[in-house]
Amino acid sequence: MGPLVPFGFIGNEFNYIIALVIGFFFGYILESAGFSNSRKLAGVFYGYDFVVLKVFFTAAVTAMIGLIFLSYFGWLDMSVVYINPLYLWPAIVGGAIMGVGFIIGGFCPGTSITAASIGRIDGMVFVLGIMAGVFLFAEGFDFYKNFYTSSAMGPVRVFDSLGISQGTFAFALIVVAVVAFAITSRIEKNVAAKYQLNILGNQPAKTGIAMILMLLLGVIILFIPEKEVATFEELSATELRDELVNENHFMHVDQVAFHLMNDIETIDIQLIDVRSEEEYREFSLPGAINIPLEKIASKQMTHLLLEKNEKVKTVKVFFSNGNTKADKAWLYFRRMEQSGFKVMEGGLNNFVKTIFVENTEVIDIHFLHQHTANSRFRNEAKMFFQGMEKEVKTSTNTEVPTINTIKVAGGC
Amino acid sequence: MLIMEIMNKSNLVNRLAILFAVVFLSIYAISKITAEDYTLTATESIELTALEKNSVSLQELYLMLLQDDKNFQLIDIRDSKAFEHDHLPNAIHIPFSKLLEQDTTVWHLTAEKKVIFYSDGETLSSNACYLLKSVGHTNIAYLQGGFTIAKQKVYDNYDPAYGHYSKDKPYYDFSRYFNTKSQNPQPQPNVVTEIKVAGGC
Repeated sequence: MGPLVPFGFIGNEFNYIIALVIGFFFGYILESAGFSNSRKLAGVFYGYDFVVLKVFFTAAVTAMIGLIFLSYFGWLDMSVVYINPLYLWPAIVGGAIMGVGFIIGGFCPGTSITAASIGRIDGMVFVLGIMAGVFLFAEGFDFYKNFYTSSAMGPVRVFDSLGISQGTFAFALIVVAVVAFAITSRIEKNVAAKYQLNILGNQPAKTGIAMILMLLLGVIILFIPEKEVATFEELSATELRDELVNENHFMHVDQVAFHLMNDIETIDIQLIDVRSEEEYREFSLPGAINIPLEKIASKQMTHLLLEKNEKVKTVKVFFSNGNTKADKAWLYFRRMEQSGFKVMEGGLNNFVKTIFVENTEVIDIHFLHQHTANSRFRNEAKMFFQGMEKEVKTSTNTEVPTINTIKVAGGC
Repeated sequence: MLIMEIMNKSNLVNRLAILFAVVFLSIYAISKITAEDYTLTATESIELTALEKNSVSLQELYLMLLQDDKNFQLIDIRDSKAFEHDHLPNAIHIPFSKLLEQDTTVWHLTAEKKVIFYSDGETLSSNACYLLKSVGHTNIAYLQGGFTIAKQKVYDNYDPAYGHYSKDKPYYDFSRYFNTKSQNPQPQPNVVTEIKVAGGC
């Protein structure tokens, strides 16, 4: 179902209206949390008030839990959600600058707007400072343009680069959050005792329950299987069965041969050999890549196969010796409502049988009209694959594919 | 001003939160009720196919028949015309197109004995096996080779040469038919791990 805008549930033209509404509530929440007060904000650096850390940590953990569950229930397709690309060193430097500004000014950008809008003068001054900063940044952009776009790492996520699963990372983050809440509460108390400050006391019972609930959710997330493609709904077993009966997913071997023999601009096929590595090494069709069936469900391969190519419409054609393995690969993607996958009918056995073994007619050039178009084509194919006519097109796709996410409008 | 007034009623925020929770929970409940009865995720299904032995070879079938093993049930999933024309002895007929609707029959059978599907080749029977496994059946397999081969090489007279016959094994020496000089198989795309870092936006 979601995200709502890319899937057309909400028109693109409502983007700014939605942004306004979200912004209004964001400001309201910041104000309610007391973030329009720079003393409260700065408290996190002096140790007497950690509400900033708590609020933002809670927000992050809540959003994370929500996204994981929405994606698990199939209400949100995470592959369509825009993830900000990471520029490692620029991000670190930018973060440091923001931190310094936070300590000096007592605000971060969002809270300064909140403060300014309820009439605080320090907030207004801070906003002016932001404007000046934006101006300087824009004017001097040429000087640090190269640095600004350096160490690009793409839209990576932490758990991907750490090599752990999404669930493990989420659980770890929740544990870190809970531990951080406990520690900061203690620090607050100590500092308050030291300076005889009067802070609003926590309610230990309620806080405890909230912490336990959060950890519980974390444990659930730990065991949630990660879905590669979360669409609104999967195709049911019955629907898959009906599609198998129709056999529309088959591509005839003649068609595959035709594609291998000709370069076609508008539509390209990528052959995918789902047999084992040994079998692939022994023999495979020209241009085919090898993804053994058991590896097809792995994260990398699924990403690789779902990558969209705008220029050329690529149909991915699975094949094995027969239909058995290739059909399973097709079923895997079809269940996730992915189209653009086919199966070479009858596999390699059928390919060789049709093009070579059962094609024994010798064409006499004077009696061409007596041959069917099929047998003429197959003779041509036979000669082609035996290398008598010309060199076989050795690759259909020599570029090493990279992993990308789909980018949609409305990014950050 | 109106909005500020609404916001001041702190009760309203609580009520909205409760309303949201109720809506969320009911959507969840409905989605669970109408959800497909898959018990395996797509990934698990594939993994199971790769790990588990899910076919019965003709030799195994022959041995079971020889030992008069009553602990299996053959199911013919071809269309009714083909079934009426000829079928393996003691086979039950459930056409592939009705397979999931007559679920109760299969559930009933798998509880008692191993169910072996067969079709013309292995395509339909292995797919039937795969789909049924993904909705929770466990005691099922498909017959290698398919109906015709099984009929001729097991039931009519056993031919040990066909004991391990399978449609998914190479039938021919493929490389013999293709000009080996022109073969240039692509390397496996396992370079992806390295590329990940460089996949800039």
